[in-house]
Amino acid sequence: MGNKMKERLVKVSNIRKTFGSGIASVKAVDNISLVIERGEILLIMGPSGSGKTTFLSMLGGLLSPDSGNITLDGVNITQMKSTQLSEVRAHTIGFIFQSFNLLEALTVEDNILFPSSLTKEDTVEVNKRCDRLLNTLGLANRRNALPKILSGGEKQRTAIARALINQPKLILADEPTGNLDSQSGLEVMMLLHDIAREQNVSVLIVTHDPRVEDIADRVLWLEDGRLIDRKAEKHVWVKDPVCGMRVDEWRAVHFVKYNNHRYAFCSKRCLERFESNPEVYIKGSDSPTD
Amino acid sequence: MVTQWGLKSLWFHKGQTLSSILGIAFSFLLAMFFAGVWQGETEQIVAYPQKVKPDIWVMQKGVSNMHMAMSFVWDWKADVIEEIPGVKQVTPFIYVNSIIHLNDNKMFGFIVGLLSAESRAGPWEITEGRMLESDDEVIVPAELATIYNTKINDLIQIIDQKYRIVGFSEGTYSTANPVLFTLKPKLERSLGSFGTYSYLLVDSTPGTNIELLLKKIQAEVNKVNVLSHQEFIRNDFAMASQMGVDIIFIMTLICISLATLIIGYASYSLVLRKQKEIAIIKAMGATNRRLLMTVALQSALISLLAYLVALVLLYILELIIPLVAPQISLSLTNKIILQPALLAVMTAVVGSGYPAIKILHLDPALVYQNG
Repeated sequence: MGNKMKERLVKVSNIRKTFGSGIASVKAVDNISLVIERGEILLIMGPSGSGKTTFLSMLGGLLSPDSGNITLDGVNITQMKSTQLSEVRAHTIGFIFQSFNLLEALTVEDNILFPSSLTKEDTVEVNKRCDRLLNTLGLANRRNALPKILSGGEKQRTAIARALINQPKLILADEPTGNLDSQSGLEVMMLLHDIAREQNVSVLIVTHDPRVEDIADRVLWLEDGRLIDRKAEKHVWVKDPVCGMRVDEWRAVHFVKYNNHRYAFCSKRCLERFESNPEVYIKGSDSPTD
Repeated sequence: MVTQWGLKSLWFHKGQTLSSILGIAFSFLLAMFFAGVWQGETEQIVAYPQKVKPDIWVMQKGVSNMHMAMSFVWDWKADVIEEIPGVKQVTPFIYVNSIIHLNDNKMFGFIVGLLSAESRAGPWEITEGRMLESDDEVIVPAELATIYNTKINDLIQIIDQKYRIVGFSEGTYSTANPVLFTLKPKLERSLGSFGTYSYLLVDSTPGTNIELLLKKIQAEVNKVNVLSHQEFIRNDFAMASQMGVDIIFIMTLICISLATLIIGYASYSLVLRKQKEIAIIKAMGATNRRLLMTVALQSALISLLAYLVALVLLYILELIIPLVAPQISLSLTNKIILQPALLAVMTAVVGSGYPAIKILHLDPALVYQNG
């Protein structure tokens, strides 16, 4: 990251969000503070129900925190009215979703241009930018296609182009590789990486996909509404000897010692299967790796 | 682009949009059709006085029209009026509304008793048969021949007397009151109204001031009501229309309520189906105002298209009805045609009300719900 990235784009201070009340209340986000630099790729991981979506919604101005402040590009968005928030979203934030969320009745080109219609930007300039995005993202020949005939990768590239059309300062990506095969997922990751590096756009990615870690400047773990900086913590990636999934040994709940060796598992089921016949699984399993 | 999205979404869900348009069109069509039929019927009800068209009508005091009315004027008053300067001729006739029996069918009819077969009080167009020659003969509307398979020489009963049909006439039929013509003596005997007429048709000499003549007749003849032809027609039309006002109002209300429900349901189901997309659009920065305007535009467009479809269907009906149901008179006035256009606007506004509330309360954070 160059000096340009040291400039702060987002500052989150002590935000909290609780749903429900009394005994049924759930602390979705509990006193989170965070700074995102310009051009930084920040990855937020965590189990389901950890508060990732709530946090993302608050950063995107879609949900108000119960307390605390979110400053975006020097402007506190927590006290804004809905019309002001709409302005901020239209000009400053680009959204990318797991299920692509394209507008099904509009063509690829119209989907990409849609956010620009919510701003007062010059149409000629926007159209030129749209052409560039279509070419860069390999969608030029799909310009007039409806989303229903696109592949998953094409849909997500369209969604990325849509997120970029208004030249946002922040991109919020929710599981951007979640519905993609590994090749398309890799393409999308590289695109997000290039966007951050070349256009100095901050990219916040919420995901379960550990492959995305490869492009992240920083990885945060969100659990029970709290953030933990994973880069600052000790962690070890190992392979589950039963299913072959990558498991963080540091956080693994299911593990067993066998022949003086510690094995970690993604689930209780894998642990049970291992215990039933360890020799079958030990053959070919990896040693723990960093 | 939000508008474009709204319109393209309608096109994208063509089936649902089309069924909504047809449903609303059908409601508009019913409203216009009923109003048109009633208008046509009303016009036919006043067809007889329209055709007679004297300068002045004279009738019993307190009576001001013909439809469903009864009037008695002493016969000598016709002679008095005939002597008034400016009066060219006075044509009296007797008139009664009564149940008539035709080939085992009962119907309501207006019977005109003429003083002579050559009376200017009708009938005017004989399509089949001949003019009256004796007082036990009757001329009936040609439509009755079609509907009840009636032929010349068939017998028809009016009050307590039988009459022989000798001709069919055109121009004075309506479902509510077909006008039949006979000669006065036999009808007078049935009514026991000797020495009286029902109405006097007064024609003036050329150049006479009708208003002055009217006042003169009113001044010189006691216990009569004297009206210009225009006023008499106005009264008769008002009376005929008034009888159906409530029914037409209720029918229109039902049809428009139905249209409003359909447009409301169509808009609401579209909003429901599109709520994820609406959340996306909101998340991307669209204001509620913009989305509401789009939904209103969608509703307005559906209503407008429904109105146009209803108009096309109505004109097709106007062409078909005389062929398949000649007894139905359909009259499409500007008011009947334009009224649903205004109602369509109202329908669109009311129909998009609930979907609008749904949009206002739609949480843009819904974008993070998968599926």
